[in-house]
Amino acid sequence: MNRLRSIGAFWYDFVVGDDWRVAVVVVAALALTAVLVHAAGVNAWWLLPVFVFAALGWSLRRATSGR
Amino acid sequence: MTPSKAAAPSCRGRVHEWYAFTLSFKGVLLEGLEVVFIVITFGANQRDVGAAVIGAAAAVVVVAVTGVLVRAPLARVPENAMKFAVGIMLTSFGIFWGAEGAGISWPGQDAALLVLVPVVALVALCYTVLLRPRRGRSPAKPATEQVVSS
Repeated sequence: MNRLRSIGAFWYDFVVGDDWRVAVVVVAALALTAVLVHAAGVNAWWLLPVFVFAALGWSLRRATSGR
Repeated sequence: MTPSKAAAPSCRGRVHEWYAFTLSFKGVLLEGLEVVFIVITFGANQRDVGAAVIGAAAAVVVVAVTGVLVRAPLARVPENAMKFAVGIMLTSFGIFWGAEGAGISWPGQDAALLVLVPVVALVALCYTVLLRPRRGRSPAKPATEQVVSS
């Protein structure tokens, strides 16, 4: 059981990382980009960087504010 | 770095520093796994996995030889500075490939990376300056240690 938990923890750390909120924002941004490209025909190359920079700032703010 | 210094030296079998061995093993395994994913993806996209494997093998040799040759100056690079640089590269390439995977076309194609990497670096530097703990505030963990851990 401990080994299963360790393997699960490894994959969680590998895929999600330190802050699950950043992972959620990135997945949402990727999904929104795909929708804009394939459904609306908008080449939304700018969308992912904006979301990543916002998520990074949010995560860093939380990390440095002592929560 | 601090936990590795605090770890008690332990010897197992022919390994004299077990902590250093497991840390290196996990790091190489993790990065190696990423390389395998990248090689398979590139090889499959171009329908030439053989060429991708040869390129990856050549890169392993170059990195290993370079690492041995410049190990002394590399050991003097501050840990957080190295993490910061790696974080910028990972974030930039992650944005680039992630957005391409979602279906967009970057203006300038691959040359967009020449703009994206400096922009990511600039934003990260701005965050570092803006969010640096001021006097009187309780210092939290360094930001780069919190976020960059791929």
